[in-house]
Amino acid sequence: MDRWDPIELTSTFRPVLEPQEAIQTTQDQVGLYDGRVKAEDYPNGTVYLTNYRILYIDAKDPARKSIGLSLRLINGIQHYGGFMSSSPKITLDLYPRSAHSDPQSSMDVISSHGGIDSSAMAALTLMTEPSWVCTCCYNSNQGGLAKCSVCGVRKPQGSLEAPTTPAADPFHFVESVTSSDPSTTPSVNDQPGIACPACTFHNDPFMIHCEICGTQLQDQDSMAFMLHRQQQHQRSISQLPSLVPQSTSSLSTTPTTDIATSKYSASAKFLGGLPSFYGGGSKTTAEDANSVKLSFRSGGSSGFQTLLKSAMATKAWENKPKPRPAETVRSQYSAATPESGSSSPSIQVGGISGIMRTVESNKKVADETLSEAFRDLQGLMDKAAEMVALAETISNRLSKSNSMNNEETATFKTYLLSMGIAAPVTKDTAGAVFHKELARELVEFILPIVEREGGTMSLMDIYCVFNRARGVELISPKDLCTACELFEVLNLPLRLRKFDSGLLVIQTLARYSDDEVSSTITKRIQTLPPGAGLTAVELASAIQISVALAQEQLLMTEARGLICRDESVEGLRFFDNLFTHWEI
Amino acid sequence: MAQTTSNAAQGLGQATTLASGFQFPSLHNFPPFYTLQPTASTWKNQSDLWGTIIMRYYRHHRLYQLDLDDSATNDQLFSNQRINRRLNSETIQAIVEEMVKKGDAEWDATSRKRRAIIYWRKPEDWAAMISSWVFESGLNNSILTYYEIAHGENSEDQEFFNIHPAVLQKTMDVLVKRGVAATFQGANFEEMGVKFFNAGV
Repeated sequence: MDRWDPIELTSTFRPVLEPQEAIQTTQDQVGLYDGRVKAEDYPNGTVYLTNYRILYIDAKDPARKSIGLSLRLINGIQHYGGFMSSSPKITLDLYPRSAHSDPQSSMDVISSHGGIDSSAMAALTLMTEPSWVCTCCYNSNQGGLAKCSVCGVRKPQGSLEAPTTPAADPFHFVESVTSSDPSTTPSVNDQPGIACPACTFHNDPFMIHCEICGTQLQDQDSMAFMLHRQQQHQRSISQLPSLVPQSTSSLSTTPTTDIATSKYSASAKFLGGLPSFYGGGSKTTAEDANSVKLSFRSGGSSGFQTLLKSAMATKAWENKPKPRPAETVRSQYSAATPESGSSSPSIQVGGISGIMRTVESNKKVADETLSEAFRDLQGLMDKAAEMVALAETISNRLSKSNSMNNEETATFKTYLLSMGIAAPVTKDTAGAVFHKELARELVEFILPIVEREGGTMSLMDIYCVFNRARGVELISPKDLCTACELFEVLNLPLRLRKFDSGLLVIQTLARYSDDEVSSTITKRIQTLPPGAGLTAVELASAIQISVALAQEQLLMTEARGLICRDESVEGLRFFDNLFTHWEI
Repeated sequence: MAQTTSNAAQGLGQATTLASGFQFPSLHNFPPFYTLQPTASTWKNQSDLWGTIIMRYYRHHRLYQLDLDDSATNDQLFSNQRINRRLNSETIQAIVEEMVKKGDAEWDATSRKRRAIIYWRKPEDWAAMISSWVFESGLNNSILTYYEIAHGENSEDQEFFNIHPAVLQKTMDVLVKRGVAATFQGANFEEMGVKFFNAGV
């Protein structure tokens, strides 16, 4: 898991993407495996595949347990279709540490200095805690594991923790077995076989029927489990040939290696049904440090795999754009921007003329982008991300400069605000979690707008604004409605509300409450000129909301008994509720 | 009378006074007073207020029966020319229904809720009033007809003079039940007789 980096999240727990990064697909209910062992901290979450990274966002604790893995670290992919209770899995083989040159990695610095074999270093890092021996199957486990990697029995607490050799030689257990007579080794005799209920013969744990008398040993419930175990066992044996050379190479510095490897096949035969040796902790050091598994508990693995393959084939990270010149002012001073550099490579002028030149070249680039963008619709779609970035830059600049007329600035900002969502969530990219993702995107986008509108907006208005911002990736009203219904489940700061008349509105959780609205309306009505009532149209124009919404707010206030109605040919007007306190 | 400080209350203006001397409360000029309020609590207050006005009006004018189809009375009571509002008959019916629930009125069983007796005085009160009048005028132990009670010379100055026959019958039922009086069948309603006993005093 050490290859995964913590990632940045938005307020709605969606990942913050890099520029040019786009989500390819999303899948929920995915668990992570560190090598072959379940990663206890990452049991269930949503996995995003972007063109740069694989991101895991935990379902329970997204704030802390969200991590990302760069695609460039992945060497190969293996797909496992799942069997019975075992979920489909994708195994990602990572390049060994030294293979990728990351200057920030202290590991690489150390290994290059000290000349230690990098895989051995990886083994050492995993062994910071003392290893322990399973009380059930006597498998030697890595210190960090809470459960035995073979039989799943929990790590013994405190006194039982038997610190073996500090480096936790993975062949420690094998050595102890092979160096003495197998028949006298208590560890083998203590293997919990299954005593036949008829003849008391101790059968191998994998036997279903007694070897001697044929009596059934397992009840029906555990049969599936046993089959699964057997299947795992066979799989681990089939991986054996590729495994042995790897182990050998990784431990070539240890003198015990020769003995261990020569005894390897022999002990394999001897240990018989024990899958522990092959499937367990003994080889985690070499292989598991360089592999990660994603377990797809609710399916979707094959689609994910296809997209992952294509993302890796595209290698989008190789032509990542350099930081945009307009985004970082400081970079303009320190060095020539890529664009200006390409047009006039030798400019290294400081001072005011340098700044002027940079500003000029930036302007030129922006002009070019604009004219290119509007050449045709396809061009606009391709340039969408850049246009949005440009809009953001302009709005940033506006907020800094005070020279412009305030009102103008505000209007202009409004236009910019209603522009673009850089990478809209679509059914293709989000798949099964489309509506959840849509709800999150919607909240991120619409929250400032709803707040500006006074805390409430009708769903129709939101539909228009949202779809305009999405550009070409339009969504249906039904999708919007479904997404809005998820606000509560996802604990987002907006709510969908259905008024009695059937009008649907989105309102902010924080600023909107019926009490507040009704008391405001009551006050407004009480301060009207004597004898005058208030209509929905008048209220709507007075507080800048839609008539339908004004009507709803009046009806809600009326239902609270604060105002009363007058229905006549002139229409529906609302008056202060004089009936409440009137005494005759 | 009005307890609110709202501008709306101030805007109601001077209360209307009829030629008969009956004065409506200024609420009679409040436009929403003529719309059936959909909110339950508001409606309860509104119907209570209407009930009070109806009872006052009926007492003032010595009326007993409210007829939804009698436009002459209703035009005066349930409409306001000044603000151009009037109660429709469904709302009046609903108001009477509320009064019936409280015991202030009773539907005429044959009228399909088109006519109702307004009890601006309860039958029990009438019973006490009539029996005390009987004993005061020494008419006990003799038989009186219903006509003599409602329209007789002796009762001319009494409040129950011209009492509605249905109300009178209700009142007599109360007295009979108490054992104060006994009724005798007559050829028609006005010839029905009643005898008050001494013991009832």
